Amino acid sequence: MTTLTGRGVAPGTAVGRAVVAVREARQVRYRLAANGVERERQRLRTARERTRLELEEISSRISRTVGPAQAAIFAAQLLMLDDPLLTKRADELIRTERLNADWALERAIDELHQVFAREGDAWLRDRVGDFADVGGRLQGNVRPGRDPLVELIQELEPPLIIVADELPPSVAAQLDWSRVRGLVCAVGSPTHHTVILARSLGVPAVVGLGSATQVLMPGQMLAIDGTTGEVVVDPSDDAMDRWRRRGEIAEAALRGLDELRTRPAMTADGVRIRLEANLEMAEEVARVRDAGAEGIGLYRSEFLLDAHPESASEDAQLETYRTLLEAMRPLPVTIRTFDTGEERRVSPARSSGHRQRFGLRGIRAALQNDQRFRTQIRALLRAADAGSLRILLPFVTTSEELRQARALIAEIGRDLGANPVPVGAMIEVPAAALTVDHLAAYADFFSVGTNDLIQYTFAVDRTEERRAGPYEPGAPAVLRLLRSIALQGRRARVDLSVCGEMAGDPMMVALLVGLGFRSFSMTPAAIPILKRALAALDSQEAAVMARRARQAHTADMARAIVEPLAAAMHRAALTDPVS
Amino acid sequence: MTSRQVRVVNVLGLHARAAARFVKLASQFQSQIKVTRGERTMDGKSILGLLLLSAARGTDLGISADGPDEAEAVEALCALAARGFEES
Repeated sequence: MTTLTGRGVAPGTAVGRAVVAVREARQVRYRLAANGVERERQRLRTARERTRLELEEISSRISRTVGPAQAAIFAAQLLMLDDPLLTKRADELIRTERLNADWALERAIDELHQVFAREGDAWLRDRVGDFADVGGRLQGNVRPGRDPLVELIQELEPPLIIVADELPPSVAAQLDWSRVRGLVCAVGSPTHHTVILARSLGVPAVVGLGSATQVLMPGQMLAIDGTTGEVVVDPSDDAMDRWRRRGEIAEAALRGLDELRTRPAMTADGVRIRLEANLEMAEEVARVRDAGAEGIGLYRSEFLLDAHPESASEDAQLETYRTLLEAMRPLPVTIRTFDTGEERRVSPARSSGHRQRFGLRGIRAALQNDQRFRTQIRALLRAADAGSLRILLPFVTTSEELRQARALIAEIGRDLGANPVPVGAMIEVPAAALTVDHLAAYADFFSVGTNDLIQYTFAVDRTEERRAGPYEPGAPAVLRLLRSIALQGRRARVDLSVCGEMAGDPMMVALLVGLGFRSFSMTPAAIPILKRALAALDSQEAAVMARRARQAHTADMARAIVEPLAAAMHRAALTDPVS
Repeated sequence: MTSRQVRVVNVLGLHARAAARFVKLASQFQSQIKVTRGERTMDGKSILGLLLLSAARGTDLGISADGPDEAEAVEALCALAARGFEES
């Protein structure tokens, strides 16, 4: 049994057998049951015949149009097709190792590539092109014209866990998710459209496991936790027990949901805590209400830019915002303006994790390229009467930027004759975090984006596979910065909320409450669990603990200080609510 | 089993087209056919195997056959190699 840790992006636990898909799910790998061997051998033979016909056709065409000497190259490819080292080897792998045809071919081709590469002879390396060509054609003919993963999921015995290097949303959308228990991806982020889909379907997902498709073998039993990001390979009985218990936590959260939904979140000593939801896609709004959120604390509007260029037109935006506001009315909806630079890539499959780190981003881009910003503000202000809207400006660094943005919003509002709406600032850049008191002059509320704040504080990119430095939410530098933000916010009497991933983690919430925060926005699924967990937290105790944690020299020490409180919260999350 | 030595004489050596001709001819015989260069032995009916021998001009190859038509096979294949696989 080994445990790998990625990033949990869709909560819940799952146990199932691995199905591996690589190259944007064009290649699939799984282990055959004994009775599946003949079908795969037949599939390989069919692919071979199909490839043969194609090559013969190409060869005769080239022979006619170019000349027989050039056609001879395809004669060589035809021989490769029947070569014992290629198709016979693949057939052997199907029989002896029970690989599916696609995987067997991939292995046979890889073996040949390795031999060719090892020979190290330039003359020979030139020959690689020929067999790579025929090999690729053969692979393409195993499941011609179909999405192999879509077909495969139909054929295999559930429970299944998909392990992919990248799972494009276009493939994900066609899958029969009732047969899939979980998803593990090498790349991706909480905002990748495939992940959003998994989350809205209640399928646990872990991303950022760079080596997933190499390390996790098809057919292996996996236990995954989409909250902690753990992936246990060949889980022991003990681990299976643990997983069952975690599953019970999730179920417990669901059991009392109706009762919990209407009950406000409160600490053991009666301090009211406000819990709102982060919304990734407008379509997910029903889940937000089901989870008992007190509003939408963060809607990342840049998704509108991903989907379709037309969906960013003023009228299309107006429609989206209005629908959202109506669905949540009378609860507040905080919409963050586009947090992108101008050169954002358009393909939704690719735009996943890597937004531009610095440069012309967020409010900076908004003020420079003010046409797009103006369009968005117009749409927002026109939609405002449909519910309770709050506009959130991202990537704010100085109060001067905020002043300019507000002036622009006020001007647009006057032109439209619209009622003013609250405008707030994201606190995600250390410069802003240190001058919350100045920003407060121009902000009706603040939202602390812990993910970016931690990155910029440590000068690391958390999405990089090999991080050059620490990214530690519990580190003293982060705790001190957060404490300062909380104090400044309280003195300025400006509404302050934490959105980032820290807000969804009970241990971190214990710390944040101790630091003085009273309002959080998180993934909807975490809300019911957190409501129960908070009932076991004493805010005074949390404050004492947070003070000690701020003095700790390492994140590990800080964690050890918080641990007892977090454990109590965890236990509370398990029990049924008091009826 | 019958075996013989032959030298690669054509300019390009045992490249794809030459190897293709060899495999086509070898496949017409029932016998099992092996081609050896130094320590390495490959299936004479495998074009990829032959390519892996990386036999440039001047290389000595051993051709052996085992089966009912082994003598004819070795004779024909050595003759093909000696003719430079029908190339210059």
